[in-house]
Amino acid sequence: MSNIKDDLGSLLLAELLVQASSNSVFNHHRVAADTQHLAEELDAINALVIAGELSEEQAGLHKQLQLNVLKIKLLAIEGVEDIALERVLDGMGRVIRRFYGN
Amino acid sequence: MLLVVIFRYRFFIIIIVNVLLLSSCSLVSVSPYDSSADKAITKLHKQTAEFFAEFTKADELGCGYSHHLPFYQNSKVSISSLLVRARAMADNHITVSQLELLSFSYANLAQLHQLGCFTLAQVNELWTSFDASFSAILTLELAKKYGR
Repeated sequence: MSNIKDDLGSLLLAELLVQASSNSVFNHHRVAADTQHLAEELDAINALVIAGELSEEQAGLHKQLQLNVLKIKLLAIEGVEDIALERVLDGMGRVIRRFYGN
Repeated sequence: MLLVVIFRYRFFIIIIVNVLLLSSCSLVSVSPYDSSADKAITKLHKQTAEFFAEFTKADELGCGYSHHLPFYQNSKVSISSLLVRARAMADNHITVSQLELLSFSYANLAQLHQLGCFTLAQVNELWTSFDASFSAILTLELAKKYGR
C-alpha cells in the first residue's frame, strides 16, 4: 500500500511540476508591474493638472479610466490563473485515472 | 537535504497542494470560449481605434462631442449586446465584470469629451487605456480557448 502511494505521489508530483512550469499559475509579478504602471499614470495626470493642461474634473475622469484599466487587467489575471489551475487539477485527475486504469 | 525531505513526503505534499489549490479557487469554473464575443470585442476595438485615429486628424470644428455622437451611440449598443450575451453564459462573472468596467470607461470618455475637445496628449493617453483594456479582455477570452 505504501509503495502504491509512493508511486502515485511521484506521478502526481511530476505532473504538478510539469503543469506549474508550463502554466502561468502565479502572476504576482504582473500584478506588481500593473500597479506600478497605475501609480506612474496617476503621477503623470497630476503633473498635467499642475501644468494647467487638465482641469480637476478632467483629471478625475482620467484617473477613473486608469483605475478601470487596472481592474480589467487584474480580472484578466484572475481568470487566466483560474484556467491554469483548472488545467493543473485536470492533469492530476488524469494521472490518478491512468494510475487506477480507468 | 531539502530535496530528500520533499521526495520522502511527496504524497502528503501533493495532497496539501491540492487542498490549497481547491480552497483558493473554490472548484475553478470559467465559462467556455465564445467565438461570437471574441469577434464582437475585436470589432469594438477596431471601431475605437478608428475613432481615436480620426480624432488626431480632426480640425477644431470637428473635434466636439456632438460630431462624434454616432461613435458613442454605436459603442453603447455594442457593449450592451456583449453584456447581455456574457451574462447569459454560466460561470462568466469575470468577463461580465470586465465588460461592465469597459462600459463605465466609455461613459467616462463621453463625459470627458463633453468637457471639451481632446488634446493630442489626451488622445494618446486615452487610446493607451482603451487598448490595454481590450488586450486584457481578449487575453482572458483567448485563454479560455488555448489555455485549456
